[in-house]
Amino acid sequence: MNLNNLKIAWRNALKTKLFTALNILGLAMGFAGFILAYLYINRETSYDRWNANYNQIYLVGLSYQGNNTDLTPPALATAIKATLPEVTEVGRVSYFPYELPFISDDGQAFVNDWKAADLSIIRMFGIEVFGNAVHQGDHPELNLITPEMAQALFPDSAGLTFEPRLIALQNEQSGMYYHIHGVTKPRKLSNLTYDAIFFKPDLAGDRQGDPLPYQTYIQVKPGTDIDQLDKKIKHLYKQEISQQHHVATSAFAKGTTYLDPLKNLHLKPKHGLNTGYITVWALAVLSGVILLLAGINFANLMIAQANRRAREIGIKKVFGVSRIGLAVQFMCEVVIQCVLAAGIAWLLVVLCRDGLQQWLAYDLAPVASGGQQAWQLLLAAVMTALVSGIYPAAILSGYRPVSILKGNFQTSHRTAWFRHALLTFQFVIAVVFISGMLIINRQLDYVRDGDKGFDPAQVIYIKNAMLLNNPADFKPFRDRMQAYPGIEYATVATSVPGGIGPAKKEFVYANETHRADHIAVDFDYVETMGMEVLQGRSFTDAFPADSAKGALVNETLVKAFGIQNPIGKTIRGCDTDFQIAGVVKDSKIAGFEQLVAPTVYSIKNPCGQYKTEILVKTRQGTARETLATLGKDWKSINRLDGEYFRYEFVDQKYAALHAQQVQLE
Amino acid sequence: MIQLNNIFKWYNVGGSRSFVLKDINLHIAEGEFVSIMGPSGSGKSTLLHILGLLDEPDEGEYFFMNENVLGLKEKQRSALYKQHIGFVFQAYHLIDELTVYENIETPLIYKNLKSGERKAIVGDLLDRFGIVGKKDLFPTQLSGGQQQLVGIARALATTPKLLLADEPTGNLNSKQGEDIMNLFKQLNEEDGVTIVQVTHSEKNAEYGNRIVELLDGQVVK
Repeated sequence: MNLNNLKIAWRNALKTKLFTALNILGLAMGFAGFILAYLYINRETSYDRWNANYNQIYLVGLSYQGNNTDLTPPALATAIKATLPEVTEVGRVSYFPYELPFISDDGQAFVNDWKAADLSIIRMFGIEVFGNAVHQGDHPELNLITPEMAQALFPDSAGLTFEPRLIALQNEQSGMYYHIHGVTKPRKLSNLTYDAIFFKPDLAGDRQGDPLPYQTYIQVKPGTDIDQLDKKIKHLYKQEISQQHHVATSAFAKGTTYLDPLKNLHLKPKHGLNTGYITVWALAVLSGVILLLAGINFANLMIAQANRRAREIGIKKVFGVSRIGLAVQFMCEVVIQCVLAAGIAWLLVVLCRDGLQQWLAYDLAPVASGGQQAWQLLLAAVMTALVSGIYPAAILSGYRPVSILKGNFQTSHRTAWFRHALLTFQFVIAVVFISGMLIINRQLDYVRDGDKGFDPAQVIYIKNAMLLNNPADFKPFRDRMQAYPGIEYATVATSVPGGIGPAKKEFVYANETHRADHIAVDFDYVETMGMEVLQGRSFTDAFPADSAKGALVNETLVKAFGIQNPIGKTIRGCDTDFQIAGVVKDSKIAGFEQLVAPTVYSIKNPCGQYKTEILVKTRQGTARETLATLGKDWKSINRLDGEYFRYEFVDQKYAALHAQQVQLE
Repeated sequence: MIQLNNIFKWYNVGGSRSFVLKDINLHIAEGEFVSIMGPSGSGKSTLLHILGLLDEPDEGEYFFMNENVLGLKEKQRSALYKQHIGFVFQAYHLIDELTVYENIETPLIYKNLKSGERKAIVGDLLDRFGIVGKKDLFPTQLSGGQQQLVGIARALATTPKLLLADEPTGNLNSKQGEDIMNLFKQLNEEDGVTIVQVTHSEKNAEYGNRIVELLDGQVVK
């Protein structure tokens, strides 16, 4: 490329200022979209990637009747460690599903994500502590919190290292006291999140028959044959773990284990949804298509402008410039414009960072720092240049000088069909895009306004760690709360939409075993949630049997179990014979992405979960004042855990389930 | 220098051939100044383009400096242009985006000359053609005669042995035309440049030392 070519390109651009500006700006828009998409993709694919053990860590999951769970019996970890030498580390993680206040003498923090784990998890997941608390090794237990928690809990503390400090959980009278030993250093994105994480040398102790499930992570030697290892663990599980007393009677016994690599756990875990993975793919394709469109547009405009350049091409050929030389010259022009557009896009994104950050609700900090993002953008710019430049370059450089120099040169008819084809293609893509947007929009409308089977409006979820398993335990709560004019109904359940999910259990009907979800509830649950009773009746204390064995089931269960005339029929699960009192409409409490599972609602709570989730239905327009007065009185209503009145609106909690889809829009 | 043997050029119109050039045999020696004349459509321009390797005959042989050039690959042909042939056009064909100076310099860039050498050559040409004061102007700021001067300067920049001119004065008034013709004559006589020009004008043809007349694609004189 010589200087005169640059001058020609530049002066040409100046002559057609508006045209060139539009062209480059259009391309820059495409690149801006690309940057945003890749920011998201980079973030989503970066989980644990920084961890040196990234490729060696696997989650041992359990698969049963086509359902996968990340939870396994604790003895599995011990057995793996003892018998399989290719596994270098084994670690278990369990979590506490409730928000819990941590209280010190100086402050308090609300811990949403409280985990317990084996000490080996520290090494496997690259957790580092300020000071050297980890390496001293003389702690039988090591209770760590994040710097944010430390700030709230110990506002007076000068630094992030301290002697073990005593805290209370829930409230100062709860009797749950722990020492906090240290503060973990901030980590990059990881599948292992926590606000507080308490380590023990052996999390499950030697309680071999501990029925509570844990996540089991293993770290293997590099180069281990994973299929072989998977077989060994399956065998181990079948021969040893499933035979153990506590496991043998549960659904675990018939399951088989599987290995899920750490690198899949965030986006497409076998035990969960792969929405994240699909979103990442969709965004990658989308940004590619946007760039393709921008590139096609660019090529089109360039060919349309070819007449302006014809004389230059003819003359250069007469000077003896080869076709390739000319093609390279045009390619370079396109590359320069593309890189320029990419630069403008970068600048745009950086300048609009704050606004975009709010709008898209994710962190744009990596844009300013560059690195990977910059390389991706540069690569994209060059690729776009190649795609959009190759055809014009080939066409332009192929002009025959004689016809140009004779002065009767016409390009339009030669390239018209191609440009029309490009236009048509663009049009088709645009239509596909728009209809795609419309479909997404309609789906979101459906999510917002569609029939959920329950009505989360005006329903408030009050956080509580007290166990209210017995209707008698909750009765004083209900009586007090229903005295407020703003409160229509109050109830308590084991599960809340967008929060703790139902227990997955097995139920037997007519000698056939089926899987179903179980939610233990209190009176007025159906009313509070605004669910519709299709057959039979809702729970009521007029029938004492309701508390003992009454059950409500949803439509799906009736269909899945094949129950004719369900009212009065008995289904058995969690060692209890439940008698069906009513059939309710399906509730999409897990969001619109998941099929509604067959569900059993009962007041009796034999399935191992705890009734803690207090739900209150307020009358329209009274929520604010009701919350204010309720907050003031909460301590006297909830004597054990009423220190802190914390609540969420169920409709917001539910909407959060679809936040990712909304973001896509 | 140039030897054309039995050159034919035709177009297929419907099922039959329409001949543009028919059995042309022509010898041009080094140092000649030849004018090709003939009415419109007689094939003058096509002949010139074939001489300049911008177009190919359908049949016949073309020896340029004793080399059969019709069998050459594009690369070798490009090398010939660069080294030996300069073109002057009726419509000047200057690059509008470049200044006078840059226009003259462009062919030199493709000969891979260093910028210092290019500067010297362009400087000389500007001086010789009396257009030093115009060197930073763009073609559209010049009169037709001035543009053609620049066109000729550009053609001569690579010191070609053969200068091909397609109606070089066709767009100029008579005074400007005369100046250009005098310049050609001077180039031919003093620098020994072989010149082949296509022209309509008897007067311009007289500047050369030989006239080839074409009629319906054939040499008649």
